[in-house]
Amino acid sequence: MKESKLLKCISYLLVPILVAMIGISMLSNYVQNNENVYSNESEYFRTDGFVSRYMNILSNFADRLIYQNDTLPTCYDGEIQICYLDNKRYGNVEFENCYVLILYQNKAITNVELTSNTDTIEKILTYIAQNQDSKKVNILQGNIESNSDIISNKGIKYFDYFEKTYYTIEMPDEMKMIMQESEAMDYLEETEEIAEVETQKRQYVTTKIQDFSVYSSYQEKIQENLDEQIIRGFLSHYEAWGENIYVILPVCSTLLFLIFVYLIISVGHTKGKEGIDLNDLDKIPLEVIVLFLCVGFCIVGCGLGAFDMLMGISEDFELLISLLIMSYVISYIICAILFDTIVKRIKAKTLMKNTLCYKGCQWCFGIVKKTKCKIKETWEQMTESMDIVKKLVLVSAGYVVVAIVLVAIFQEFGILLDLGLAIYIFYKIIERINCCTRIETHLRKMYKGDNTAKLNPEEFTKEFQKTVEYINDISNGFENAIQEGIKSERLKTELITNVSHDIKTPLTSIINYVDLLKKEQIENEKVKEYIQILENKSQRLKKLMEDLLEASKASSGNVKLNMEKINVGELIKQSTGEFEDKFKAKNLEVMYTIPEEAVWIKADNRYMYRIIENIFSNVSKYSMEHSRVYVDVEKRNQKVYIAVKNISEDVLNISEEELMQRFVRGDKSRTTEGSGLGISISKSLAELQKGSLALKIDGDLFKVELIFDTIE
Amino acid sequence: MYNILVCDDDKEIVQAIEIYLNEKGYNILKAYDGAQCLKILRENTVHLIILDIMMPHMDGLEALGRIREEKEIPVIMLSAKSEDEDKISGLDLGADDYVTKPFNPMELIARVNSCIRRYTKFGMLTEEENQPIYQTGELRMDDNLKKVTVDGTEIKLTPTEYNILLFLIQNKGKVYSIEQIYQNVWEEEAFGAENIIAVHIRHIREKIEINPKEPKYLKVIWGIGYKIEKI
Repeated sequence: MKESKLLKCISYLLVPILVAMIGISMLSNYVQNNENVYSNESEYFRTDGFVSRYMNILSNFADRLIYQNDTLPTCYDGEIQICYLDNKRYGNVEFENCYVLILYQNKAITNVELTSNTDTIEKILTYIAQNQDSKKVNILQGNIESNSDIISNKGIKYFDYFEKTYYTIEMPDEMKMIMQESEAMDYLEETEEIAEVETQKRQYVTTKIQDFSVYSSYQEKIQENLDEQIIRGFLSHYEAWGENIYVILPVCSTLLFLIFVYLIISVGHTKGKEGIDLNDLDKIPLEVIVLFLCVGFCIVGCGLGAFDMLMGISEDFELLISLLIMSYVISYIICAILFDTIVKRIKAKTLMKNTLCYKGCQWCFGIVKKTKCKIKETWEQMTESMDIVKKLVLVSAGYVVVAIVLVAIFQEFGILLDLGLAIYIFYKIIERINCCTRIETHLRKMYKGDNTAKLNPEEFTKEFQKTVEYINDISNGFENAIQEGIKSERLKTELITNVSHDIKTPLTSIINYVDLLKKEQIENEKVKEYIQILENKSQRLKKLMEDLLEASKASSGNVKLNMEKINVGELIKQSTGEFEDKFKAKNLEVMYTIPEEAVWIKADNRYMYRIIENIFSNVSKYSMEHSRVYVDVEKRNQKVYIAVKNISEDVLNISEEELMQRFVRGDKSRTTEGSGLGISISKSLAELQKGSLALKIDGDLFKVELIFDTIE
Repeated sequence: MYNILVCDDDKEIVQAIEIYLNEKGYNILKAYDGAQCLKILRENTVHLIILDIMMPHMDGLEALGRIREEKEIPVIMLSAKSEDEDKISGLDLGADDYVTKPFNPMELIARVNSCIRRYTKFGMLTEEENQPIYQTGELRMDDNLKKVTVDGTEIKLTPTEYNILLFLIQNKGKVYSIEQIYQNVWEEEAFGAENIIAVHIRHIREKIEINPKEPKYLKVIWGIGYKIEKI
C-alpha cells in the first residue's frame, strides 16, 4: 500500500483531535452526572452526612495540630503558638466562610489568615464569632455548643474522630518522630528487628475530645474550589458533547481504530519508492531517539507539574488551558514520532539492529575476532621457523607463566582453570603425536609396497603438512615408477607374443618341409645327416619360442592363476612318473624323502607341475650319468621345503645369480637342448604363487629348493 | 573319399598339409582367407575344415562363426596363437579341436582321422547298454572282450594298464590319487611301490592320446590325482 502524504497528515492530525474529543466528552459527561450533589444545598446541611463531614474537618485540624505542624506558618501569642493552615492548599474545607480554631495544651491551629488583626487567640475568636449569617460550633470540655440543631444533636456521635494515639519516637541522633497510631505500628513492625530499636525512646499520647477546645463557624453554603471552577468553566463550552457521549464515543473510537490500522499498514511506504523508506530519523539508533523523547516527556512533565502547581492558586484560566493543550500536543508529537519510527523499523527489520546495544555488541565481537586473528597470526609467524621441540618448550614455559598468573588472580578457581588449560595443551600434544603415528603407519605401508593410499595434508596440523606433502610426492614417484615398470613389462610381453606368432608361421613351414624332405628317398648320406640337423634345430627353435613366450608371461605376472589345494607328495610322485624314462635313460637313481601324511599347499596345479617339470627336466639333462638324485619334501614351521639335488655333469663355473637370469646356462651346456629359460620361468611361477625358488651350487652339487606355505 | 578344406593364408603350410593328407587318402580343397573358405564351402561337399585364425579379409574365428550358423562340419583350428584364452575362445565358438603352430604333422593327421571317424562312422553308433562296455568320447572299453578302442582303432594295453584304465573309466569324472588307484586296482595296501602307478598312467596316456602332453581322456590333476574325463 502506497502512502498518500495528504492522507497521512490528516490521519496524524485527526488522532489527537479524536482523543481530545473522547476525553472532553467523557469528562463533561462525568461532571454533568456529579452536578446533582450541589443541587439540594439546603437539604444537605440537614443530613447526617454533613455532620460527619463537618466533624471530620474539625478532627483533621486537630490531627494537623498534634503532628506535622512544623512546616506551617506560625505566630506566637505570648504563651500559645498559633499555626496557620491555609484552606486553599490543605484545607479541603468545602463550606463557605468556614473558620476554625482549635487549642491543645499550649498550641493552636486555625485557618484564619494570620494578620495583625488576628495574631492573638482573642482576636481570632472574635473574627470567628463575627462571621455573619453563620452557624457556630464550639466544643469545650467535651460539650458541644452550637446554634445548628443537627450538629448539637448529632455531633457527639463523631467525637471518636478525635480519639487517636500518637507515638513519639526519639532517635539516638535526637531526631523526633511523631506518628499516628497506624503509621507507628507499621514503622515499629519494620524496625523491630533492628537492634537500634533498643536505643529508641518511645512515648505515646492518646488524645480525647476533652483535650481540645474547638471554636468554629460556617455558612450553610458549599464552596467550590478553584480547580473545579476552572474545569467547569472550560467544560461549559462543551456541554453538548457530554450529552451526546453515546454517539461520540463509539464513532471516535472506531475512527481512531481505523486510522491506527491505516497508519500501521501505510507507514514507511512512499509513493515511487520501493521497500521501506527510512529517513534520517529512522537511521538514528533507537536508544538515542528514546532518550530525546524522554527529554520531551520530561518537558511535558514539567508543564504538567506547573499546571498542577497553578491549579489551586492561579485564576489565569487562559494560561492554564494553554499549558494543558501544549503538554498534550507535545506528548502527542512525541508519541507519533515514536510510533512512526518504530513501525518503520519493525517493517525494515532494523528495530533490533539499529540500536546502540546491538552495534556495541557487534563492535565488541569484531574486536574480539580481530584480536584472536592477530594473536594467531603472530603465533604462527613466531613459530613458523621453529621445530616442534622448541615449540613445545615455548608452550610449556608459557603454560607455567599463565598457570601462575591464573592462580594469583583467581586463587582456588585458578587451579581449575589451570587444569582446563593443561588438558587443552595435552590434547594438542596428543593431536600431534597422533599425526606422527599416522605418518609412521603410512610409511610402513609404503615400505611394504602399498603406494595407492594417500595422506590428506589438511587432516594434519600445520607442522606436519610439508612432511605429508613430501611423503605424498615420494609415494607418487614410487607409484609412477611401478606403473611405468608394469607398463614396459607388459609392452615387452606383448612384443614377444606378437613376434613369436610371426615367427611361428614360417617355423611351421620349416618343420613341415624338413619332415617331408626326410620322407623323400635320399641316397646321399650327407644330405640325410644335414636334414637331421635341420630337424633338430627347427625343433629347438620351436621349444625356444615356447619358452620365451612363457618366460615373458610368467615374469610380467601376465598369468591367470587358478589356486587350489594340492598335495605336494602326490605332485612329486606324478612328476616322477612322467620323467621315469628320462631318468632311466641316464641311469639316474632318484632317492625320495616324502612325509607319510599329505602336505597341502595352495597353488595352481598346472603351473606347479611346470615348475617341477622344469626342475626334473634340468636334472635329466645336466646330471652326471649313474649318479643319484635326491628329492626331499620336508614340512616345518608351516612351510614345505621341496629340495632337488643332483650332481652336475659339467663344471658349474657360474654363480647362482647368473644362472637365475634369463638365457644363461652353464657355458658348456649352451649347445645342448633347452632354452636356458627353465629356471627363470620356474622362479617367476613360484613367486606368482606366493612361493620361492632358490638355487645352490656347491662344487658339482646342484640344489634347487622350493618353499611354499602349507595349509591345513 | 573325404573332402577336407584347408584354409590358411600361408600357401606353403596349406601345401604341406595337402601333401600329408593326400598321402592318407583325403581330397584337399584350398582356401587362403575366410571369405574364400566360405565360398568353397557353399560350392562343394566338405567333410572337415582345417582353419587358421590369423588371416586377411576375414579371420578364422569369424569364418568359424559363419560356418557354424549353417553347418555342423567338424572344424580343426590351426593357429600360432597358443594361449589358453585363444584355445578356449576357438572351442567356445564351436571348433572341434585346436592345434597350435608349429604342429607335428603326425599329430595333425591323427586328429583329422579322429574327427572324420567320429562324425562319419562312430558318431551315430550306439551299442547295447547291457554289455559291460564303458565309453567316454571316442574311448571305448569292452570288458567282455578286454578290448580298448579310441576312434575305432584298437589299442594294445598291458594287463596292469588295462586294470588302471578300467578302474578310472568305471568312475569317470572322479579324481583318484595314486594311493587310491593302487588300493582299488591291486586291492591291497599301498606300500611304497605305488610310484609305479604314475609311470603306468603315462604309458596309458601315450597309447590312448594323440598328444600325451595335452591329454583328452586321461587327465592329470597335478598334486591331486588322475581322472578319466567325462565327455
